[in-house]
This record gives sequence, structure tokens and C-alpha cells, in this order.
Amino acid sequence: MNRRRILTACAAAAAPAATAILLLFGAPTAARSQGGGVVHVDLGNISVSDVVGLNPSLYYRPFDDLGVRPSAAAMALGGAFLARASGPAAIGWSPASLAEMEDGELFVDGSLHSGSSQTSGYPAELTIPGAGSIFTTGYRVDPKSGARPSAAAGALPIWRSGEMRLVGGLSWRRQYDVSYPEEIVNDFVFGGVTSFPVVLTRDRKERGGVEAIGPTLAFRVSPQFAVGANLNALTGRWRATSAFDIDVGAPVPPGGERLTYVYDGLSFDLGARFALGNKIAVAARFSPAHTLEVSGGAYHSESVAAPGQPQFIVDAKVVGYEMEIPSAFAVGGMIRPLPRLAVSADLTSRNWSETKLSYTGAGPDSPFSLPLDLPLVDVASLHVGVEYVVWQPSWGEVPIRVGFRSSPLSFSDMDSTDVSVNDGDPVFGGDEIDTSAISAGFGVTTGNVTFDFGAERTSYEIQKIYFDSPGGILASGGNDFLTVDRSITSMRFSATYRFGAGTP
Amino acid sequence: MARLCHRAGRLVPRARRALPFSGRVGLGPTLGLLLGALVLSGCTKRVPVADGAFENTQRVLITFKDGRELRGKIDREGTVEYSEAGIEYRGTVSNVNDVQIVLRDLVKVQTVGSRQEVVERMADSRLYLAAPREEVILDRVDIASVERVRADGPRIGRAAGFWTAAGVVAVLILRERS
Repeated sequence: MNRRRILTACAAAAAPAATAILLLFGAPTAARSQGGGVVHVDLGNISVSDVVGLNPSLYYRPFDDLGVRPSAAAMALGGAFLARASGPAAIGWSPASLAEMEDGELFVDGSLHSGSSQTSGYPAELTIPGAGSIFTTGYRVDPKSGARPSAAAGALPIWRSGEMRLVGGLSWRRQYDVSYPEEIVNDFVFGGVTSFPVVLTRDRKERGGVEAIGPTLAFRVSPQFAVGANLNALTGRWRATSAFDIDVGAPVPPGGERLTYVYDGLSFDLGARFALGNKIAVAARFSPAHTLEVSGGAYHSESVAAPGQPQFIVDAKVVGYEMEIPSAFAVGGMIRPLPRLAVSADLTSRNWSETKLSYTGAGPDSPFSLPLDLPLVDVASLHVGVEYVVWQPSWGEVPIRVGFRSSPLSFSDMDSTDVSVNDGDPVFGGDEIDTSAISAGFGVTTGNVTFDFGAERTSYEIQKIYFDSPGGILASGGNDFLTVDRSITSMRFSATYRFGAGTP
Repeated sequence: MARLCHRAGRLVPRARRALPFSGRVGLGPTLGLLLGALVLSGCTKRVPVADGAFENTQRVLITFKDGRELRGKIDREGTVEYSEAGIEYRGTVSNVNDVQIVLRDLVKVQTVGSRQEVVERMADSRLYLAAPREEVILDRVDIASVERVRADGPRIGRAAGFWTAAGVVAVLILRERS
């Protein structure tokens, strides 16, 4: 009997979308019972801001354009790579650096991410009406691990005259990372005479992001000075798929949730580089403001189908919108005090808070929709890296690298003083999430191929809502804010292949 | 009417059954073949043979004093590539002894170098009267150098490493976009 009550209560808890809708939109006028305890709610067109009421983690989308830039060498150097970039990897840093290429080259880059968290502030005990209490024995909100492609690029010199040179390139690369997959596991034990475990899980997989495909041209004016430009056709699709599971000792059909966005736009990067031999170099990149159109927005969720509990099926369409993303600027320098030692530093800046949002068509259907808003915050970052060639055998060379970067996230944290996501205040009106990362790596250049490996660890503290349930869980009556100490470990591997007569 | 045959209790058209791929071609095998071809192409090195001696099991490149080249395993009935005056032939070794190497059934494969340009320019005005070359006798006293053609292990390793990484990234990109 108690199992049944617990299951029913947990099923209600694992239907946050439905709970939130009731609070957000009042009586769901679009809801209709289809018999068998199924309640279908069609919300129609909603604003992206309303997603915070469905699932705050689906709303939380920092745009990361720092950690996604290509090259494992760059990651190992803490992203201090603007003046160091060479070969096709330079397309993602300073297109002007492409002009130094002597022969055709291919470049590929991928990364692996994993993370762990320490969570505090979750309730130790939940009371289930008519069934007593269940006690929390563990609660985890861990970032999910996974492999991601980062870049594939090729470039070759297409015209030479004396010291002047024109180099062309073509690339696919990840422009903005917007994926933050997570897994929530909440372990309970029912504390009666015959105690038994209860486990709630919420597993959210995410794929995709904003990608850039396009050509690059770099022109070497003289051995000291070069300029370059990227044309980026922005494309991509982001998909989040969640599964809710309740393990209470009885078979329960799992619930699920999915949301998809499609990105479309066009942007440019302009770059310049000045170098004195290989001793000193400075480089700059300017990315003018551009428009990113976000469409798709199909939302669907199904709560866990527990006996005695109506199953909520929710459908909605997030209205398409445009982001006027402000310009970005980066400057970097490199100095080589010893033949084997190179020190580099970069500064980057983008005023994300100046991003303007507008609907591409008609707005949301409901007058209760939250105003169109993404609490993006300005990002300025510092990057420092050191490289030392530790070994120069006859077959190549092996450099080792260390780096540091400040890497604030572009999305503000939750405001833990807010009492509800449904009171009209922006729940993500908290502070900027300021983080830093340390990194290390090495490279191996042999013959016509270079392999680079980089690893980075970043840590930060973030506020989350208990079980991502914006309406509260198990009739607790409000939001339960948690503090999550999160560590992300990223590993990146890149390889460069050189063609041409100079190839050994 | 299409002939039918039994397979796993179902009747399927014989023609479909005979096809090695009757639906989607797997991404893995396709990428594997592509990578294999890319890795193996051009990853050889030539090692000079000091005394000019070679065995019939060894793949060699023989350069003659007048620039002619013979490449392959020099064994009776073995297939070799022979180039002379900018024309590359493929033929069969009909006889090998201490004095001569005799080739037969030479078929022109391609023209290379500056001769190719001339051939292309004159293609419309040339009248071919001569029959394909049927036999070529190569005197071993005319051999200038012998080089063994061997797989370049480090180069294959480097290329395999790069193309494997490229394949993994390609699969990840396709998976993300699928």
C-alpha cells in the first residue's frame, strides 16, 4: 500500500511540466482528458522565457564561444592562442594566421567531456500524504559525459607573388556551445518497519549546437603583416531528450521530455596579425554583430504513468525568435624568450547583455506568457599559456603546455532569494557565474603529421532547483534551491596533416 | 514473374537476396574502406640495394641507364609496370635470367610528364598505326640502380593516426546532424 502511495506521489513529482503549467497558466483551458487517466495539455505557442516554467534546465543555455574554439594545443594553453595559431586551426582563432601556410593542410579536432558535482541543500526528508516519510540518502546532479566534434578544416595557398601570399580555407566548426546535458539521481529510503529503496532519475541527453560552415581567405601583405576573414554560415540543431524513471520496486512506464531548436544565421570574423620572425607576434580578431535566428521549438513531455495518477502529456511550440548578438573582440600576443619557450596571452570580450531579442513572427498565444528574455551577461576573459619543447629527436619534436583562463559563463545564475519561478520575476536574475580553468597538454610533431592533446578542468558553483521541478516537489509548496559545486573535465585531441613537397 | 526463394520463413525475391547490400550501406564499413585506401596510398619508401641483387619475391624499382623504369616483383608470369620515354605500360614477365628480363603483353596505361602535354596537344592529328608492344627485352647490363619498394611503417602509422582521427570526427559530425 505504501509503495503505491509513494509511487503515486513520485509520479506527480516527476511531472514538473504539468505542475508548472498549472501554476504558470492557471487552469489549463487546453487540457482535455482522453480517458484512462491521460490528460493532454496543448499550450500552443509559448515564449522561450516560459520554458523556465516547464524545466529550468532547458531554459538555462549559456552561449560558450571560448571553450569551443578548435585545437587541443589551444586548450592546453588556456586558450591563449590568438597569436600562436597556425594552419587550418587558425580559422577558429585568427583567420589572418592562415596566411603563414606553405602547403596544403587538413585539420580535425574533437573533444570529450565529463563532470562531477557535489550538491548541498536538498531536503533530507519528504513527507508523502498517507504514507509517511521517505528519507534522502543521496542526490546527484552530474553533467553527462560525451564526445563532441569540434572542427574539421582544410586550407592551402592559392596564389603567391614574391613575399605576398593568398591562402584559402574551408571549415566546419562549432561556433557556440549550448549543450549542458545532466543526470539527476535522487536516492531515498522509505523508513517504515519494512524499509525499501526508492530511486528517482532524470536523465537528459543533449546534442548539437550552433555550427559555422564557410570559407576563409587570408592575405600575407609582407612577412610581418597579414589579414584574413571568415564567412560563417551559422547552422545547427540542438536537441534535448529527457527520461524520467521511478524505481520503487514495481514496474512503471517511464516519462520523457524533448525540446528542439534550429539555428540559422550569418556572421563574419576579421583578423590581423603582426609578427617579427618567430620571436614576437600580436594578433587581433573582430567579430561584428550578427543575427542568429532560433526556430523549431517543438516541446513535448509525458509524465510517468503511475497507477492512480493521471498521466500528463504536454505539447507546446516555442515561438521562433531572433538574437542580435553583439560584436566580439579579442587580442593576443606571443613572445619567445628562448628558442624552445613560448609565452602567450589573450584577452577577449563580448557584451552578451546587449543581445536584443525579437519574435520572428507572431508572439505567444497566452497573455500570461513571460516577457521575451534571456538573462545573458557580459563576458570578458583572460587567457595565459606557456609552451616548452622538451624533446627534439631526429623524427620531430614534443612540446608540453600549461595554461590558465578565466571563463565566466554568459548566462546569469538563478536568484536563490526568489521564491518562485511563477511570480513574474526572472528566476535567472542572479549573479554571473565566474569560473576559471587550468589546463595542460602536449603535442607530437613527426613527419607530415602533428597530434595534439589537451586537458582542462574547470570548477564553479551554480544554483539548481530541486529535481528541476519548478513547481516544487511532493507538495513541498515552493522551490527548493540547491547549491551545486561542479567540476568539468574536458579532453581534446586534434590532428593536422600536411601535404606538399616539404613533407618528409 | 520474379523467382522467389525461402529465407527465414519468408518469401523474398531472388534478385534482392543475391545483392550484397539490399538497403542502406553501413557508415562504418564505408568509412573503413575510405580510411584504408587513404592510409595505404602513397605510404611506401624506396631503399637502394647496394649490389643490385633482388629476389623474385621482392617488390623493386629498377632504373636503367637511359631512364627506363621497371617496377614490381620480377618473377616469371608476374605483373609489372614498365615506363619508357614518358609512357607507362603494364605487362607480364615472360622470362628472367642472369642476362635479360623479357616482358610481354605490354598495354599502355598512361603517359606522364612533358610527353603527356605533347600527346594531348597532338591527339587530334595523330594517326595510330602501330600495334601494341608485344615484347620488350631488357638487358641487365643496362641496369643503373635497383631499389626495394617497401612499406613505410612510420608514415603508414602517422597517416593511419590522422585518418582515424578524421574518421572519428566525421562520424561524430554525422551523428550530431542525423
